[in-house]
Amino acid sequence: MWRCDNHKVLLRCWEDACVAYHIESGDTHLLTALSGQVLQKLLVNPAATHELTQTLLPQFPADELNMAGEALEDTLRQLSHLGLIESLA
Amino acid sequence: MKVSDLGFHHLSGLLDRGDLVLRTGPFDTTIHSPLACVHHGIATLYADFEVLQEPVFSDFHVRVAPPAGLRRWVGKQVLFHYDDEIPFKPLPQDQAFPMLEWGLNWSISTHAHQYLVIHAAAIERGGRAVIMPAPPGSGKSTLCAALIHHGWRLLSDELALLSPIDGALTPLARPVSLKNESIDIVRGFGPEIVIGPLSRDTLKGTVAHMRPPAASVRRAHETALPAWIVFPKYRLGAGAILARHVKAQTLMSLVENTFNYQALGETAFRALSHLVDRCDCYTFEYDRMERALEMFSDLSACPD
Repeated sequence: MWRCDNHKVLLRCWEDACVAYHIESGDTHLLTALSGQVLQKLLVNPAATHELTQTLLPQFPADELNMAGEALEDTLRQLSHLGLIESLA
Repeated sequence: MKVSDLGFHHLSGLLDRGDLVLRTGPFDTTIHSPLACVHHGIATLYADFEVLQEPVFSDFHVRVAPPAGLRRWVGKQVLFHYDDEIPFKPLPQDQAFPMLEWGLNWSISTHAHQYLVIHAAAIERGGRAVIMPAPPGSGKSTLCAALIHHGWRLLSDELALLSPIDGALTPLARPVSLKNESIDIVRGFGPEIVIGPLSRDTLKGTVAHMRPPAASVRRAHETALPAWIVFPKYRLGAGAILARHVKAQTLMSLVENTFNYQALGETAFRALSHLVDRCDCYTFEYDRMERALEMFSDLSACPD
C-alpha cells in the first residue's frame, strides 16, 4: 500500500510532464506524466500497486501492456526514493 | 527632484557625505562613495531617477569606497559595503561603478523577499509583459536593449520582481548591463543611446551600462502582468526560431533562476506555478536582431 501526504507534497501537471514540490525538504522535482498520474491518485487516496496498475493500464498502448507493471514498479520506486510517497506496509 | 536636476557638484557632495537617497523602482537606497568614477556613473546613467531629499527610511545603505588600512596601498582597490557587511572581495578601483551595480543587484536579491526575484529581463508592451530568463552569454541584455529601443517598456534587465500575491511584475528599470561585443552593437542603435564608462578586464570581460529610457523610469510605479516567458539564445545560423517550451520544464528553469526560491519555499512554488499557468512559454533562438524584433512585435500583436 502506498500513500502520498497532501500536507507535504504539492503537484502541478501540464501537457506531458509534472512538477512536484516537497514542502518539508523544499525540493522541486520534474516528473514524467506517468509519475504525475500516480502521485495524483495517491494524493487523493492510498492505493496498492495492483490497484494502481489496474487504474493506469488503459493508458498504455496495447503492445506495451506487458511492460506496464514494470514501468509502474519503477515509478513507485523513484517516487519513494524522492520522499514523495511512502509505503504503508 | 531628479539626479539631473542636482548638478554634478551637488551630486558629488551628496555622494561624498553618504546623503544621496536614490529611488530605483520600489527601493530607496542611500549611496555613499568618495570615488569620482561612481559620481560620473550615477550622473550619466541615473540622470532620470528620483532623488529623495527629506531624511527618509532607506531600504538599503551601501558604500563603495577604497579599503581602509594597509590594503589602501596595495594597488588601487575598492570595496562594496552593505551596512557593516562586506559581501564581496575587493576589485580594482576602475571597476567601482560596475561593483555598485552588482552590489545593488545582490542587495535586492538577498533581501527583497516580498518579491520572487527572478534572474531575468522583463519588458512590457500593451499591458502585457515578457519574462526572459537566460544564462550569461545568451544575448539576453543585448536583446532587451534592442527591444526597449523599439517600443517595449523596460521593467528590468537583470532582476524581474514578481509579486507572490497578485502575480504582477514591479518595474525595476535600472541601467542595462552590457559586455564585450554587445557594447558596440547597442551603441550602434542610435545617437540617443547613452552608455557609461567602460570597465575592462572584469570577470565578465569589458563591461558597460546603458542608461534606461526615461519613459521606463517615469513609469516605475506601473506594474504589469506577465503573458509570455521566453528563453532567448543567440546562435549563429539560427535565423529566428520560436518554439513552444514544455511548461513543467519552464517551471524548473524558473526555479533555477529564482534567487530566493528556497527562502520563500511553498509560496515561491505556488507563485511560479501560477506564472507558468498564465503564460505562453517559448524558447527563441536568433542570430539577427531585425528578425528578433519582428518576432517580438508579432508576439505583442497576438490577441489575449
